[in-house]
Amino acid sequence: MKNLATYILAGALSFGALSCTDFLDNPRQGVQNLDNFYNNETEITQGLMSSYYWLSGDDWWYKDFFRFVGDICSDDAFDGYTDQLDFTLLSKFDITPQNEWLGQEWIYSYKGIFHANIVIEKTTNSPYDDENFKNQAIAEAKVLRAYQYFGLVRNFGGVILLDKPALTGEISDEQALLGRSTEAESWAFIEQDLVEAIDHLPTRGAQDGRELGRITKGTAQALLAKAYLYQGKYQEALTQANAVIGSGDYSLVPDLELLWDNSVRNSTESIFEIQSSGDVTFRLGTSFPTVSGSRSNKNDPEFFGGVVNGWGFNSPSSHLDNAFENGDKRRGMTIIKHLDKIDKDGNPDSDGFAYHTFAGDENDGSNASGRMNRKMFLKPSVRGDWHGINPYQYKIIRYADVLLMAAECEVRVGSAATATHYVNQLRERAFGDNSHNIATVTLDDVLHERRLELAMEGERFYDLKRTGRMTQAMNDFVNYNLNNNSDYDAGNDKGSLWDESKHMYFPIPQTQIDLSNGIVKQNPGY
Amino acid sequence: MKFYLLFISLFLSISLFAQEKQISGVVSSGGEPLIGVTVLIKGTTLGTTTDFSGEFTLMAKEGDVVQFSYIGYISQEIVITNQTTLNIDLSEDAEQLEEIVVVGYGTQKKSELTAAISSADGEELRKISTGDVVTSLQGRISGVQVSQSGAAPGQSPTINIRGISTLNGNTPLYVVDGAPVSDITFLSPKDIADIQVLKDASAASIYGSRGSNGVIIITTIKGTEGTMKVSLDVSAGIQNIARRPQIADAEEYQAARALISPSYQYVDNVSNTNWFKEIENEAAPIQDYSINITGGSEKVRYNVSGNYFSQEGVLKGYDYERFTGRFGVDIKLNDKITIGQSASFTPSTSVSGPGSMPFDAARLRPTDAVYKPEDERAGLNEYSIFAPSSNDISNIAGRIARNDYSETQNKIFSNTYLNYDILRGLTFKTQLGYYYTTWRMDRFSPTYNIGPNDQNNVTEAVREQNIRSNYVWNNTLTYQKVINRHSFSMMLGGALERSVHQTLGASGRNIPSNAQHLRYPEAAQDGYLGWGTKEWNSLASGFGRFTYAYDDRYYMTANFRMDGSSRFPDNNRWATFPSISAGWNISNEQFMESVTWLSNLKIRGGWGTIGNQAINDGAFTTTLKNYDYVYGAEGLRAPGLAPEVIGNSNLVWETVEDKNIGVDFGVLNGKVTGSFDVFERNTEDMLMRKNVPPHLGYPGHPGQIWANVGSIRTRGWDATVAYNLQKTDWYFSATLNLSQARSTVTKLANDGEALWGGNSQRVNNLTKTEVGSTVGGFFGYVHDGIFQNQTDINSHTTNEGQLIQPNARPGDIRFRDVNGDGQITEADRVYIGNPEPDLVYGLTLNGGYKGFDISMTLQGTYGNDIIDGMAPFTYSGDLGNTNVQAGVVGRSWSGEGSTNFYPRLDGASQTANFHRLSSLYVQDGSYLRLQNIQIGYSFNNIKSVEKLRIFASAQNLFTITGYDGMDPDVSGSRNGLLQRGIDWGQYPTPRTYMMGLNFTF
Repeated sequence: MKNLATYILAGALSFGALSCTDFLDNPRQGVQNLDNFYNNETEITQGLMSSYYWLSGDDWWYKDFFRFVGDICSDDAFDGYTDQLDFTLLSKFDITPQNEWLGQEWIYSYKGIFHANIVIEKTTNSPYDDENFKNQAIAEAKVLRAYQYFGLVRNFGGVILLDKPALTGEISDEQALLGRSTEAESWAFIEQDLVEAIDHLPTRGAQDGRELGRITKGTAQALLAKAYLYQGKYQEALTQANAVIGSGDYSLVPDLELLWDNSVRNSTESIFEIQSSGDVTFRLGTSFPTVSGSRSNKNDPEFFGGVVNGWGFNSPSSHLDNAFENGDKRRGMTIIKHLDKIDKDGNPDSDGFAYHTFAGDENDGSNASGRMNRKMFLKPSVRGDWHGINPYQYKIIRYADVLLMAAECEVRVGSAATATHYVNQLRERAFGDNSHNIATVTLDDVLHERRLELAMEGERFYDLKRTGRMTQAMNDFVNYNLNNNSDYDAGNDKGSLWDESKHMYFPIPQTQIDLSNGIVKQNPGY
Repeated sequence: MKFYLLFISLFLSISLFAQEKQISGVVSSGGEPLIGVTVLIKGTTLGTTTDFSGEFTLMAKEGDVVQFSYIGYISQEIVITNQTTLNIDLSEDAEQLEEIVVVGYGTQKKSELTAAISSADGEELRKISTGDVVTSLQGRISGVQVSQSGAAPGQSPTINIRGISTLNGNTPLYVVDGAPVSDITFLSPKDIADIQVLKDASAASIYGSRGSNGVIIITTIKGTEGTMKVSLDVSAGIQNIARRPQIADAEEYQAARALISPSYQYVDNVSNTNWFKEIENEAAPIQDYSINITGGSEKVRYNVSGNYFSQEGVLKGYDYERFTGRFGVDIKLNDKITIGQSASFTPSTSVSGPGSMPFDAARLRPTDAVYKPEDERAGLNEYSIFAPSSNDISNIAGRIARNDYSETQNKIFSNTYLNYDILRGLTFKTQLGYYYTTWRMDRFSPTYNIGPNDQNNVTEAVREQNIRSNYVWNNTLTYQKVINRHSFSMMLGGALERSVHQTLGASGRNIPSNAQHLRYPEAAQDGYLGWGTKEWNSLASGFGRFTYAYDDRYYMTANFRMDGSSRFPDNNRWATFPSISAGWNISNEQFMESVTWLSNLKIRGGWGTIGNQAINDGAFTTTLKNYDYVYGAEGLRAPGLAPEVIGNSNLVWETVEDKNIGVDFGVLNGKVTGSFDVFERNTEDMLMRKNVPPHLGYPGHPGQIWANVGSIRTRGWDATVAYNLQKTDWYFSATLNLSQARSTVTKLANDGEALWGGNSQRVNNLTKTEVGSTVGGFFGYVHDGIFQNQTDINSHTTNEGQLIQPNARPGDIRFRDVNGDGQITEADRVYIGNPEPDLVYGLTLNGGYKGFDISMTLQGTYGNDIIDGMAPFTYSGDLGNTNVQAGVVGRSWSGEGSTNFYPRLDGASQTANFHRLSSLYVQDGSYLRLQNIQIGYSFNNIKSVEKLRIFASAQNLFTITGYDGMDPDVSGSRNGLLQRGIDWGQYPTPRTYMMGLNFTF
């Protein structure tokens, strides 16, 4: 007994002295470690996909919702069914740095940038030796990074520019306490990423069907054209737009109903499109049809063959409705007004179902304008069962946008005839023939066409800002709603708080300013 | 007991020992009869105890040695010759009366303590009607602040020992019968013999890397030598909500809304729903039954107990049920070796209601109906009959109805030891503690359709089963020696610990129906998911203690511990934590002999370091999770992988340096006793999962990483004064404890980068923590009254006459231009409230007269502030979107002179008034609560019954506070230290009424 005790004792007391290296080595199980990832094609692709993820994210409030801002902050739309107060306040320019939606957009954009930065850094240093493959992955990540920055710059002005991920133990003051760059520096950063990416990306034509939906040379060129356009660099923008047009990879979808079918994946008009599926398990869909769908429960699911309603956000204004000429088929593809008749796929049909857009009756104030966005209507037969996860393919940049960018540049610094040619291509599709063609377009014509063609696609507010027409547009809009409007949205004073000296840039979210120890400066006026 | 004796008598009578005879007598001390004295025939298990009159009867034969023993008295042995009557007088044992205190890895005499240790007696704690041990400590011990902070049935409140010592959770280390465990929810308060709280480093440093938040040492009830004792405790009662939030009815809501938006049209014949009624359970039952059996002989001692506890929530949807079974046995194998084994098994189930119920009930519109009209319900399932809400908050009655979330836990705690007295004074002990918990969660989302914004078309079932196992192996060698007036002891030990957490879960969708029996992933038709991981951590330690005492006048204790933890990167794994303390008992000095009014006076002081390693396993590595996308013509899933958490490879231990000076005293023959301690604690390299600037893009919202974030200093004092008066047929005692702990941040990493906390949808960053500030101070704008008219606005100017709030309207808040730059910007925010109390106090009163007894505990805090986290919605109705507090319309500014505090509800842009944190939302959080009152009556002189007592009790009977929310007890927010004192509408502390009885024989 005594011997046994001695052994136990000797063993026990020597624990401290024991080299406990093995005993204390308890790495986490069942998860990958970034330090030994990015070793082969599969891992690089998986890393890359995590930065594509941030085009939409898991839920409606990650990235999808903010895409409405380009509409609700313009004369095209109202907030709609107003149960997200900060969304309403945003649309009315009653904005504080605490605004929830600005905070979300800022935070999620930077998560996208972080993931893109990881891909760029880790792929560059990867032992995998197929340089072409690696260069293409890096190029895709750069376009994704540029796109997130593009969104930030057009909303907030100069932003914080990070070209590296801050990883393990590298939270240097330099990265964590970085201040804002100027707007010009931010644009230069975006341009550089896109320019560098273009050379390493495949053209749409060279893309394998299995790769469809991933970023192409055309994507980078179209985005670069837009970045130049926002800076007023029309010549440079034209060069890029022309490269896309001249590539022969893209064309207008002749049938508007097919274009706005929304379940057709990556049509010939698609240049940059969010890829989605109705997979609920992995939450791979987008939420647009639900969030902007009608809140009425009077739209018969039997007739439509599936779920048809939604939450009623982002409702088109009568001001926009009135901008469409008679015979313009785009109107029916942009707006469904209360009791408009549509078929089960959402297309105008005089024998169709009289569609309801109000939650209750017309007087309940539940929809600011009695209209919903047809471009986000997904035919119920393919809509998913899960409210926010739909196989809806959101079009970030389509060929029509590039034609309009080219037209705008041509009319500003090039040939009005070419511009006219581009605009008329769109008008012929819209009216079905050349009866509504314009002889020679002016800048106003191009911008008006841009409003109609890209209406409710989240562009209008930014187009008005960059062309210096926002104040005029808001004055006209408020005047119309208060004095000349007898439609559902009459009397709505949205836009009356617009102040050009303040609202050209949204405020930097308070969280960013606070956590940056005051190094990040607020935009003026907030 | 009679039956037992009869049985023994029968047994003995048929044996061959014929000379048995009955012996009876009385045991007393100084003429007073002693109740419960063990009377035992030496070397056997035969015996009895004395009754209320000190009388006993026993069968014995000539030559037997009868032992009389009683705690605190010197035992006597009488050899039976020809007597039949034995009247025994026991004398008090000064030596034995000495209280023994359990400290880390051993015991110490209370008189020799040099550290700050407080204790609570199990008997006292059992008077609180609760199933939770931590709750029973509320208001009991100086320096220990227990805050309910929204603890629902089955959840423990938060507990802080001497304020906070770190930013990352301040839960103390629990040690149950020598084994460190992560939680103590497997114990019933009925199983506690006593609790010691190690408050300073001189006591806690023996637990090294986990001692920084203090240590709570729990000793459970064990068998004692003597006849079998059976105790029954039975109590049952009901609970309700003590204070309901005042929410507006439909009429007032419409009035408020009409003020906010003049175009609002009053709706007649509208519903008038009180949504709080929909979430409240008005009479929630609570029951607590236990049985405890103890006994033993010289060689074997045993205890067996069972407890059943159940509690429904005062909010709908909560239900908790727990059974605890325990046993313990200690066997003396021979003169040198004792072995023992104890184990408990605790199965429990808890059902939880949907989250944020009070918050939602306060915001839902009273004009909305609970149910759809009868004629619209045809063909709808039971979850679809609710009316859709007209704002973005789901119909809470619908959420309660379809809520299906339950947790089932099985907790096994086993403790095995061997004690070997190698030589006189030299003891070796080896102990193996094992704590094993299975946790199973079941959740089901049924299909329903309330409205477009509130529906679910796909069922989902989730089942997760996690296993947490934790073992500790302690080995100690203790040597004690007394040489004349010198007394030494030395302890050396080693320990290995490992904790493993394994998860396993599955989920699936499209279960064919909502039927109860199909609510399992197995029934799913698609959308299968499965997961499983393992996280683990280990700790290897060596430790020791040396104590020295001279002549009961001078004492010293030194501890050290060395810990290696797997939670830190290779190069930062090991750390050493020493401590030293000393004491001087002045009252035992010769020169004090003449001071008779002073029965005890001891001063003590100590210094030491302790640590904290409470971070996630693997926090120093960057691990990945899925962020999937889709591509290709067919739109197939493309897995994406990116960080789930960013590892910090520079993590090091958090170290706390602690100093304590204290005095213990007793006057008036020990009628008044007390102690007073002052302390200072400096924490360095605090570990916290801190928010990083969002532009880094880290996982979390806005982005987080584990880091050593800085240093804080906590200074404070705690005091206990007790008064005891014992008379022949009545007694009275009162114990008052007071504590204060103030923390100040002394250093922050990244050049003093401030920490922010507390986000709501409307107002972000409610608290700021920076160098020189308290932890989580409320940070916002100063509300300097309301502009009564345009003149007020025009006179709110800088010295140069510049208007500070040019766009304000009468009725707006006048904000203070703190930095004097002529405008109100974020730079004008200052500290406008402090969640840390100036004083935490508790007062326990006990009294009795003959068979009656009464006890009560009052507790509370003084000087802390609360942010009403619901106010950004309920003061303004979220600008018409949600309901408002009752009285809002009347109290809001409505014209000159109407109020100087509540801003206008009407007119354009209200965001400046309501969408920022200002003193508008800060209230005084001081309160005094009658935490518990119990009145009992004991029946005396019932044969063979040691104790029969009936009682009635009430908890949380009243609360005196200026705070207007449901429950001011929110100062220990479970949402982390940067959010303490923010009331998000937590689960309220219930008011409980109970009746019960205690029965021992």
